[in-house]
Amino acid sequence: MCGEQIIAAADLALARDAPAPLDEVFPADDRAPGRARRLLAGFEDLRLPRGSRADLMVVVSEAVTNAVVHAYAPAGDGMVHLKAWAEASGAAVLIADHGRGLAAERSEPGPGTVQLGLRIMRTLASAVEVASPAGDEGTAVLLVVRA
Amino acid sequence: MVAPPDTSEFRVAVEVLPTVVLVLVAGEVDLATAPAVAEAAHRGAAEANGDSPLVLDLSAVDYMDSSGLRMLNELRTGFGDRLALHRPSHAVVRVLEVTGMAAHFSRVEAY
Repeated sequence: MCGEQIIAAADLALARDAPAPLDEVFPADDRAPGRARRLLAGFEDLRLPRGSRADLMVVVSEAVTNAVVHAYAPAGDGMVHLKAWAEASGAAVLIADHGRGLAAERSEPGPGTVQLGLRIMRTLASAVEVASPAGDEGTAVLLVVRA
Repeated sequence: MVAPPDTSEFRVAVEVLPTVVLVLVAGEVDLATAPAVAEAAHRGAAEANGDSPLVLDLSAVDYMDSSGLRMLNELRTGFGDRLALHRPSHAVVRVLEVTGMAAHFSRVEAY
């Protein structure tokens, strides 16, 4: 299984349902980004050099932060779903929430703070795929970081 | 697997010196901890006299993401030219550079 094929298929629902060696659900609170990083740090399948590993921690934190701040605010009582698996020469991570989709966020007035996180993800990750249907069906972000 | 506590290494301290307000930050700056850095900076500035420079020592920050960037941007908006960074770590420089914000912050080597 390689990242290009997953991205090309763009079938994030499939990735969401498929079994993965790291598969965790946790509360979307302000500790969620740190929790995601610690889960990945303890995931031994990831064989990335130090720099790529640091970038992976940042991009995953950005996706989780967006879920906490934008998908669920102000109630903030949702959950974050994190899955990770090894890729050829890299790692793939899926972050999914069931809050407001990005379409709702983009339609709001004022500067979109979601943009900063997305910019970091698109710069540091080898591939980023975002699926965010209109309405409140949630957002799924698939990130691939290669060595 | 026993999960270590979240944000175990984060620390922030304020020193109000005669000529500068120093905020020392260590560990991970993210959604959970960035507000504490901003709070410490404002607390230190409130204790200081007038227009003391506000220096953030970021040499011991081993992780930072957009939550930290937003906090730094807000401090820059509030403190303007009084704000300077001291020895930002590799983790800090990395996110400043990939977002094109590195040039927005002045740096000081000594304080």
